[in-house]
Amino acid sequence: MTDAVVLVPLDGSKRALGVLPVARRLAGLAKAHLRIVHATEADRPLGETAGALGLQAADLRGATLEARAGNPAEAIVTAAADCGSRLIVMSPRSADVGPAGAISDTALAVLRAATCPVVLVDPTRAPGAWDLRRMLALHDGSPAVSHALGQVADLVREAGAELMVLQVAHDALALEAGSIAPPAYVDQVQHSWPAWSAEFLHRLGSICLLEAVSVRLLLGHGEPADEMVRMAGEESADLIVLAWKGRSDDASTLKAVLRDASCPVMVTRESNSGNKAPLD
Amino acid sequence: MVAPTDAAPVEGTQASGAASIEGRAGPQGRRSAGALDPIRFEAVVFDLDGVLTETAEIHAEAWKRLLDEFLTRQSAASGRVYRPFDIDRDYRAYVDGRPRNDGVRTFLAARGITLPEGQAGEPADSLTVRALGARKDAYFLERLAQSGVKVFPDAQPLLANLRAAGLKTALVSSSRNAKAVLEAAGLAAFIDVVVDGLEAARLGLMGKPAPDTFLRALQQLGVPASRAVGFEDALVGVEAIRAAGYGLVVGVDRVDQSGELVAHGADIAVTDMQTLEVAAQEMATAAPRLAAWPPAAPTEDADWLIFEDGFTPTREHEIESIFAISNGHLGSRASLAEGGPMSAPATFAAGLFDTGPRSVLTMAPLPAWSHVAPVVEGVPLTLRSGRLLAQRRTLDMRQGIFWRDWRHEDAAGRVTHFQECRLASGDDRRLLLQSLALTAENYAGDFRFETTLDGTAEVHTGAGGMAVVSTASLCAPTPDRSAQPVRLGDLTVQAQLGQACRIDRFAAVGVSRHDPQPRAVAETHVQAAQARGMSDLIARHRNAWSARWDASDIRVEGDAEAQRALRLAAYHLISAADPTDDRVSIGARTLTGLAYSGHVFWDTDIYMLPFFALTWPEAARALVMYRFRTLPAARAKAARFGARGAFYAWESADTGEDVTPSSVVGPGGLLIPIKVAREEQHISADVAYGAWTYWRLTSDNVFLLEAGAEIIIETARFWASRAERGDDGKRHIRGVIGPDEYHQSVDDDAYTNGMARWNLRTAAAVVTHMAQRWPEPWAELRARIALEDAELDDWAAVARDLYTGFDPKTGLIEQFKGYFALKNLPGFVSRIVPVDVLLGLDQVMRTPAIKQPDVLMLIYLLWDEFTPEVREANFRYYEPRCAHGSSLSPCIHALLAARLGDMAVAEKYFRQAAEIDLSDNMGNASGGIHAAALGGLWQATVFGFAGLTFSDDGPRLDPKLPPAWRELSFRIRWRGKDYALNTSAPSVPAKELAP
Repeated sequence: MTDAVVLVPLDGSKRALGVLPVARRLAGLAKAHLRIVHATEADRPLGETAGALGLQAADLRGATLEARAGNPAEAIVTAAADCGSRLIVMSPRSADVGPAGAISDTALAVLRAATCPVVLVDPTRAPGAWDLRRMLALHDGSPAVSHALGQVADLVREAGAELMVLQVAHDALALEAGSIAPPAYVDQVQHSWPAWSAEFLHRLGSICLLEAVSVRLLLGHGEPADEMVRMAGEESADLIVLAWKGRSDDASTLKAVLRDASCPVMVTRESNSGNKAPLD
Repeated sequence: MVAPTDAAPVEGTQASGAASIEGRAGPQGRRSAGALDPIRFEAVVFDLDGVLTETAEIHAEAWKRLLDEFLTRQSAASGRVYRPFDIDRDYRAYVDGRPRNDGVRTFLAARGITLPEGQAGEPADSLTVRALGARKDAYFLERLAQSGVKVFPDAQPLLANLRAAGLKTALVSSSRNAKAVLEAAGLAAFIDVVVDGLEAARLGLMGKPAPDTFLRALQQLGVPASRAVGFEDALVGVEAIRAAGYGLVVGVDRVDQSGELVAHGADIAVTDMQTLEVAAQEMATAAPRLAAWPPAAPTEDADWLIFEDGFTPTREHEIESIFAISNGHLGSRASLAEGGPMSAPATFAAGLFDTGPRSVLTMAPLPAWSHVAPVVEGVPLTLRSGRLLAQRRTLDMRQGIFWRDWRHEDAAGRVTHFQECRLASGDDRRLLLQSLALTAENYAGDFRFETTLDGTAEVHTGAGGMAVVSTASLCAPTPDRSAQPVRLGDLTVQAQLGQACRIDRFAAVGVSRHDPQPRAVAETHVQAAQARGMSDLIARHRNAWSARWDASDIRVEGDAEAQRALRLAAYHLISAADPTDDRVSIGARTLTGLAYSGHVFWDTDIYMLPFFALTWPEAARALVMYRFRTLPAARAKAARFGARGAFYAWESADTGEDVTPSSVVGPGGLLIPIKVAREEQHISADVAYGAWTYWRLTSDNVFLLEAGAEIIIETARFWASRAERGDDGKRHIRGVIGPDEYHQSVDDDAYTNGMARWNLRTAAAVVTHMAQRWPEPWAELRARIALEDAELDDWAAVARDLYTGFDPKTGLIEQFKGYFALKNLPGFVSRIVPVDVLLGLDQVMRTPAIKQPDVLMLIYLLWDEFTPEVREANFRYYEPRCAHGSSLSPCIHALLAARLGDMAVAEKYFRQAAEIDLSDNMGNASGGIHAAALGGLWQATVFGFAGLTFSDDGPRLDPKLPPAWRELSFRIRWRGKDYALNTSAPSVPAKELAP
């Protein structure tokens, strides 16, 4: 048994159980065990909780169950912090309500407060069996996003999956020092595209350890969310990764991707430490 | 060292005050006063005939044949007694060593005969000085063809040893065939500079015994006479060297005339040059002392400095490019000495290519000579751990030095001060130098050092090329102690509190393409450098840069940013050029990075060349001669395409073969076929335009005669064969790509057709000019390239009928057939994305968005062919349609807008061009600096803002400056004369400077 934990909040809805295949596979890749947490206002014995959540014995094999009282979002974040959770895997919305692709206030609050990556698995689109073969990550070229991707690079490596990094050329460019913008032009494409790609990947790799990871660089233009969803569909991505500063009030890109993406979406937290050099 | 071993000094030599010569050096290798070692002498200059080659005998035979024929005829006509030419006495006394026609005159005068000078085009059997001289040359060549060139057995070993010892070499000969003889003798690789009869005629230099040609050789080598040695066998040659003030005059006695040689000024006379030995440079017996840091005073004027403070890991590659050091032969990126995950250290030697990734011929990186990683008390000093207290990196453009000043605190609280400077010697292009100082600010402890190169390393290319990098280090643990040679890997310094440990690193590179014995060259150079010492080497380097800046600096009053940008442009252009090597050219990113694989594009001919032609003609000459040397490959490419003449490589490397990759995997994994090698045919006209520009700005007639005319004619032939006759009665060039690469496989691209027409007409003009002015060389060239009269008629017809796309109603030139019918795609945003890659060329080709100026480029280059209305109309039409998908674009728009008086637009594009490297606004400076954009920035300033033009009266300015610019001043060399130009007095004729 490992000390690493992947936290799976369940709200008691039937569909929420749909996140479990994704959570179990990610826990395997992270060499972690599942901790299922149910946040509720009322105290309830664990035996009753498992039943209330619709968990079968097989669901609990290799997993632990925890019930926490209080505000669900706070309880989830506290539970994750208490066990040093590697990931949180959850449904983006509560219970069996709300349109597909919507995100609940609880999920949004978890995203804002969690210090670990959060994987949102829409229960209405949850695959029966899930594996990680292609991960698509949105990258604005900033060192901060490279750091954010560093939090999940080991999952890709462990899965033997391909990491597809998408940079979208649009008006709002990353301003952080050391960012590499989408190429303003491609002059003599036979030279400049390989050179720009190599530079991009070198900068990414100098921050986010990519050894033994197959990386492919994609370029899009227009609205990042639209391009992300389009590329995810075209490239049959199994997981979308978005780095988020957690500051945006409307989280428009995140919401748009959740609304339209057909695969789980992982949200990693950007920090302001992007330009710190990697440790020896 | 060179000292005669067997031949005794000629009596009187020492008494004359010349260098004393000692016998062979003892086992300790003491350096004698007369030694030809790299400390005392920097250059050795040779005569050709009778010194290196045995053509003196052939010359003598040719003279005898000519003059005996003449004397026989003259005797018969005049009744004078026939006295034949004495092949020994008359040859040595009257013709040996003199320019051909001087020899005729001198000999005839001795016989009391005077002949008219003669003129071009006269019958070959005329009785004139000129005709006799020409006939002598014909006899010489005839005999040479029969017997070949014999090389004296002592010549090649001596030359090889001099090369290995790092001494510069030159050849001074009155012969107009000197280069051909040198090549045929297999000695060309040993000679850096040739001053032959053609060069002397071009410059109007007096022949021997005047010192002119020997002084010219030193001028080209950049060596003072006192530090040069001259070898001569002719009496007049010895007099010439003596008159030139050489430090040592060696008479080469092949015909038992030692006494006469000395009497005419030789310090010594030797019968066998191998009696002079060239020993490897030895370390001075007393170890040098290293002064306190720095080894040279940094420049203080901020207008000459580019700074980078702090440390942003992901910007490292840009910094490495922008702060790179180079001398045109060697270039080295400004990587962190201690290395790191974001460092991409690379050093390149011009012309050394190997097959790189993607099977593309790419510059071959050399071993990391500047890698020095300090270890403090067992802990590596690195930016990746501990705390950065301060770091400033400075590019000192004035002196061509990269400085770094770094204070760092490690995890144990030890504060270390690391100071460094690095340079690529502008004085000796085989040298790279690095000086370091380490100070333990708040502790005492051990310094150790890790390095990847501590001695000599070799690089071998797949094509059999080789480079050798040799390093040596001196260390002075404290400022007051003598320095000791050290191996860095073995060195431990016990650092004292607050005391600086100084280390000097010397690296020398030998390249097989350039040096017959690269290892010997590298090792000897590095030893010589170490003996000479860092301060002296830097002083020489600074002098070299100072001379370049004297010729190249542009001063902008009122705009410090523009001033720095222009200096950065000049800095990297100067750094990229090597006037001594015309077998290489300047790649798109120079020697500062691997982008574009080091390949040479039209960038050099159109964007960079004018800077060199007007500030450093010798460097410009090397660039255009590279195109001449690669002409055979261009002919072969044309033949492969079923065309005549010369079709130059779109991308070329060392041989001129087209090395453009045929495809590339684009974003998304799509394979993109690359058509530019086949379709971007304007390169041939660009090369011709470069050759023409060089000649027009320098009046280097020798170049035109020997190389330029052939380039221009062969490229014209290419266009004549490419232009097809259409049903409309016009000629068309179909299936091409113009500078606007967004539109491929188009017909009648305006730039291509316009430049082709210019090429055809210019070739015809060159033919006329050559035939009138230099009938003999022209006849030779014409025969060699089998040019028929009918071709000239064809050129004229093609040029006349070539489709132009010009609409007289609007004044617009259609960029290619069908361009005006193109419509914008909905939602198309051309200026923020690489549209061709994102949308695919198929879509982009259906839009009028253009990548870079095409029609406007034509208007710029052929400015006088267009009316002001046409210039204005086309600028207003095409400027808004340009996506600036190339770094070559903004500078040309700035230039044109300035000429049109639209200063707001001009300044906008000037800033955009200026920031391409400084702000990395194209996002790709990491792969090296954008040399063409830098050359374009210079052109925008000089030809745009200053409005420089030329007439027969000289240069003149028509300035239109940005509002903040109070004054713009710069110097140029135009047609052999130096001018100081200033926009404050534009109506006053440019001030001509004394030579």
